[in-house]
Amino acid sequence: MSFFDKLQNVDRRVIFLVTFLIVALPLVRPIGLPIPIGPMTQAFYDTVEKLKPGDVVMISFDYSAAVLAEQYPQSKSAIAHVLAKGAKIVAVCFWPDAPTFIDNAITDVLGKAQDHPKYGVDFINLGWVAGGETAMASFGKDIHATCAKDHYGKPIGALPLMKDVKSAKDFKLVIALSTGTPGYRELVRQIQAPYAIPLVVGVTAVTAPEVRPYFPQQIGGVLEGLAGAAEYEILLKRYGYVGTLSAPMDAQSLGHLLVIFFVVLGNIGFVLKKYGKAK
Amino acid sequence: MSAVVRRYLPLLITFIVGMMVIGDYYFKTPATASFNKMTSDAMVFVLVVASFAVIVGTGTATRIHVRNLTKKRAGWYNSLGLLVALYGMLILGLVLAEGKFTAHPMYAYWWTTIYVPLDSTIMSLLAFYIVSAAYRAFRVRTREATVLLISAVLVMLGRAPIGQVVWSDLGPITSWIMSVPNTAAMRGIIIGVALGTLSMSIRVLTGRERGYLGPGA
Repeated sequence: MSFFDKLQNVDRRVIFLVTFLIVALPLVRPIGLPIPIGPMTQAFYDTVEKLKPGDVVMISFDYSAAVLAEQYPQSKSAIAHVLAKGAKIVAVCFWPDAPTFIDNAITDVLGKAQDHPKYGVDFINLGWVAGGETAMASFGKDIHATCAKDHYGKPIGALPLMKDVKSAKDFKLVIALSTGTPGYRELVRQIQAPYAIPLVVGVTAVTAPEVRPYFPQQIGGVLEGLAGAAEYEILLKRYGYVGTLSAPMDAQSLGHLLVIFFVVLGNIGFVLKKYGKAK
Repeated sequence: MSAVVRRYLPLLITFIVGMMVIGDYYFKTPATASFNKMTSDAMVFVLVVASFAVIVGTGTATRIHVRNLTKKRAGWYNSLGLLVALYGMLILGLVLAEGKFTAHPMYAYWWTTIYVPLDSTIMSLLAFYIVSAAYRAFRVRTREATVLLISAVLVMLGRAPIGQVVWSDLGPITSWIMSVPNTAAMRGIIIGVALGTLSMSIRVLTGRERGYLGPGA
């Protein structure tokens, strides 16, 4: 095997080991690279900033455990921001994995979820609604008929927050934290468009290119993956929100550099071999 | 039930329900209140059916994997693992967690400490394969591949903090790639999918598309 072939055929075990080290090191010893605020994150933040005390916000948690690293920080920040504005949260999910994430995110922000004295007054966890896009449509039309009870089995009619919240018309904003189907697209079709409610979304980085066409008409702002979550955390510092994503973003930076390094390395071997043959 | 009824009754139900939902979207007046309520009830009925589908799905999965076990088919131990996990968590949720499943702290604990790390780990493994695959697949073989590679490198750098450290103008360039060429292509795809969905919906409503009724329909 020639030198140029070797450049193109680095053993995958070496690649895996280097990847592990490059990603793990900044997590142990963060670099603290500055994180610039992107326009999509700024738009997300500005939309939430327009909320007034007492406004009711629907937050839809439509993701699985696989994407927790990206979407859980988005979830916590969104909850913290909405509550900091004095608005109220109706949390729901159309993915079966997510009721626990709602519970955990609220607990991380407020210390307690179901047992919090403001449960049912300032926020509520409606849990999972089966039925995908149809469930979203039904939820938008009549929340009480779709979810008679909350995630913990309490009738929602008895909770003060839900007394005046009957359908999607009663929401001032919808925040979709989604990663697939059903997700933000279905919420655009079933909630945002029919009821003309502002919608902002938090998605994984791989989903971000698909969201762009909806911005800014249907979707008012986007948190794009871990980078979006980290930028949002920085914007929330003025509310005393303490972020945790500086080190993971360093890891992501070095990870991206590593991919570029290997791609360049492979191409050097490829071009030199091709050039050598031509000669 | 005659063959004609068996064949046409599902088509008629599909047509009526489909027209109800479409009508409900466009007509929301006091005069149509009872019609809107009826559509709303029909949608809740779908949710009930979807919930029962979970039970049917569990039953089907059980049947398939029990058969794998009893016949000792290749990979039977995977089926055993699935059944133990499925029914273990079911018993945990129904009996020990008093039927509350994730709403019960004990069940939530098992869910959070077993399933969540497993799922996250599987996803995390992608990082290793992406680095390896990008290294092997991204070659400047053609002009198109070169454009793709340059765009990918710019976006990868621009979407990470290090990119701004390397070159401060990278942010606007990345933003332009995402907002202009990417959005234009995605918009075309979305409009194409929407037109396809529309034509398929018309075919379903008018009974021309019957695949959803099963084989032989």
